[in-house]
Amino acid sequence: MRRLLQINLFLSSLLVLLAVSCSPVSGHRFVKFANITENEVRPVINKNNSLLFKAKIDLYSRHFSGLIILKQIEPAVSRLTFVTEIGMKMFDYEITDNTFKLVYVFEPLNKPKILKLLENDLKLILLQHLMNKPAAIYENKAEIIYKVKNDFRYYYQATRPSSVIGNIIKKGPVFTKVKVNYNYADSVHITRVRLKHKGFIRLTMELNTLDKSSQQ
Amino acid sequence: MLKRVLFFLFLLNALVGMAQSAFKPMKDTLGFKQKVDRMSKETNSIESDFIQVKNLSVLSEKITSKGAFCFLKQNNLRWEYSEPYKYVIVINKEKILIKDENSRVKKYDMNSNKVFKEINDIMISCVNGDILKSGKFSIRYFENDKGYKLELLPLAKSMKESLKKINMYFDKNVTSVVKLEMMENGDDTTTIDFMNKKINAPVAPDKFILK
Repeated sequence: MRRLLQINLFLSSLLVLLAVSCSPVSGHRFVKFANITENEVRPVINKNNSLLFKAKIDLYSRHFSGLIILKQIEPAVSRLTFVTEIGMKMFDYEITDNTFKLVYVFEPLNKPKILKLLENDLKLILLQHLMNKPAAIYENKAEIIYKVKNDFRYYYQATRPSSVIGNIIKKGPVFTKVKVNYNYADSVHITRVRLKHKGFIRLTMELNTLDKSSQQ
Repeated sequence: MLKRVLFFLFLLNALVGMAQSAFKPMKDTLGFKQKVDRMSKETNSIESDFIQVKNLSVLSEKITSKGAFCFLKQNNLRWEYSEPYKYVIVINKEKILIKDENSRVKKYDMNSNKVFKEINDIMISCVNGDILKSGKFSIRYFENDKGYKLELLPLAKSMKESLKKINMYFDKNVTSVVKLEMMENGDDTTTIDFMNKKINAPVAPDKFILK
């Protein structure tokens, strides 16, 4: 019995150690709690320009590709529209502050589980869990990490001295659920966003910026 | 005085231009249908360039893409987008093949996907003129001095949910479709202009194979 308790204690310690050492904030010192605004982090939605992405979404065996256009149409209202290359609209969201309202969805995609996944992932990409939310700020010499805890734990990493987010990790109680990676052309303008689910959900998204100057 | 005359001439010119391009109900729909029938029978292949403009009304944004289009009788279509992205969609009889930038070719069986089948039927029948006989649309016929315009209003409830209307434009000789306009509910539109057309030029069948 005593031996069993020892093994149990050892395994629990190992798990705690693993969880701590795998934490994205390990090696960073806690600085403060603060409400994250545009002063700290540059938002993905640009107030002055619309963004046009070539998008690829792989959900289990299904592949969707097309164009995502993201535009602020009023001070607090933006639209995110996905159209296929041949011009068919697949879905259209109206984003007001941090709420997503589905305006249109192409019937074959109109399934609650798919829409929930899409909405959660798009919210993640657009930093909806971070902007204007309280976060614990950690830092080291190279980077700053903003940790937000609500339904999951979200870690947003920005490389110093930039105010743009380079990576996001969404974690459950133990394991990483989703990873997002951003690439920038000039430390400000996004060129690529990659999102990948870990574990059982097989969903990846890849958004590559298209040059809007050729569209006028 | 000269300014007034110039203004009057400008106005007259504009009005004449409008009168020439305004579409009126077609007088001889039977004759037009015969021309479309002939076009359908005589067209074995079409090669052309195209410009596609997607107009997102709420966003006041236009997405313009360009590429090359190819049709080979009976059921082969190739849309090759080259700007601002590279994307090829091929319909090869019962298969749909898609080649995206830096991706492997994806193959779909048309019959396993109702939506693909519907889209394919519309695309092919728009190109070869069979859409007039499909029974899926109520059709209004118009003409002006340059060509013909058909307004196709979907009849099926499922199609009405996403598509308000398709406008098809033909030249005066009805040799092929020169322009397609797809109007969605919510006033978004997709316009495809076909240009530099080659009708019945030899087309290699391997254009409809993607590797």
